[in-house]
Amino acid sequence: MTGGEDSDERLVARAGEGDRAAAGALVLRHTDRIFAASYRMLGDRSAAEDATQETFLRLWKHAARWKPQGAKFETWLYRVAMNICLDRLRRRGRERPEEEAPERADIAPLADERIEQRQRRAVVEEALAALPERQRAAITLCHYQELSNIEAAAALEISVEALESLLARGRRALRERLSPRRAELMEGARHDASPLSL
Amino acid sequence: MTHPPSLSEREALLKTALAYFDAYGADLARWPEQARRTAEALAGDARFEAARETALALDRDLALVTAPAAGDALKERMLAAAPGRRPSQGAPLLASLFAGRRFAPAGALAGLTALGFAAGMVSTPGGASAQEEALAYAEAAIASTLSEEDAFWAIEQ
Repeated sequence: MTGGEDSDERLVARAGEGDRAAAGALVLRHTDRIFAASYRMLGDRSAAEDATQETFLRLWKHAARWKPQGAKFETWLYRVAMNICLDRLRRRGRERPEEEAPERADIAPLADERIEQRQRRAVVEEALAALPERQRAAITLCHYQELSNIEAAAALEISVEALESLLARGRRALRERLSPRRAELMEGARHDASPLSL
Repeated sequence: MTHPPSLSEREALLKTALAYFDAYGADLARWPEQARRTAEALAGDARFEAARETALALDRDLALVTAPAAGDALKERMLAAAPGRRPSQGAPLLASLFAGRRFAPAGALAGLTALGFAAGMVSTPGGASAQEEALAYAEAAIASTLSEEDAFWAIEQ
């Protein structure tokens, strides 16, 4: 490769050979996305940091013999991260996550936020946290991380049809939870000039 | 499709489109490419537009939820745990700052790494070598502060 950035696959190969600059480039390139996905799955910064760190530790462990096997490196990394997150959620015994609301206090500089927007966001966060884990994982990967359906299905080790089923069931459940509060959400939106309210 | 769909074709297309709204939301850019063609054939249909509005409302709700950025401290920890050979040369000046010390002062280490990250962020797409150089400097400083046991422990954790 001349000029330009090295491919992930090439960086992994170099990292596996002990090239720490290549490992650093992988950290810089992928940490934010893996952390964001972990955060959306686990609901708090500390747990998301642990899951992200564990994801990369597994990468370092496997880098020397990592092979693409048909999937992009990033898809593989998401698969590792999702497996770690799902495993942690199961271990937490959070089959019914609505019984234990996740900590979501550090999303942004809350002191500067308007109360209405915080409330609206909290409502949506609660609804997301209440979803079954795999539905949340599907929405996290497709909606938030913007993976294609093929990539997201590969990351979750399911078929595209199964992914679409998870997405549809997840979105339907969200609509059912949020619709009764639509008036409240819309009222907040009318008073909020934030671009997030569209 | 070169001709307008028949009524039954339209019903079938609509059913398909509603399923896509259910799964992927209102933004057609998120739909599989083939499904976007279905949407084009239905543009203007009242039921299609109503389903799009419903999906858009949920998309707007989901957009309210943001994730924080990963902190530099996390990146430092992962970088420190990366396997690999110690740089045998390079960055002697920075490494010498911590010579004889088992651990670098946290602020200095964070600053060094931030320097590396900042260099990476301002580099142009063609500036990968500058980014790597900055990383190598930060790495050399980190490596000089970690014993062999520390690195092993970090990897095995």
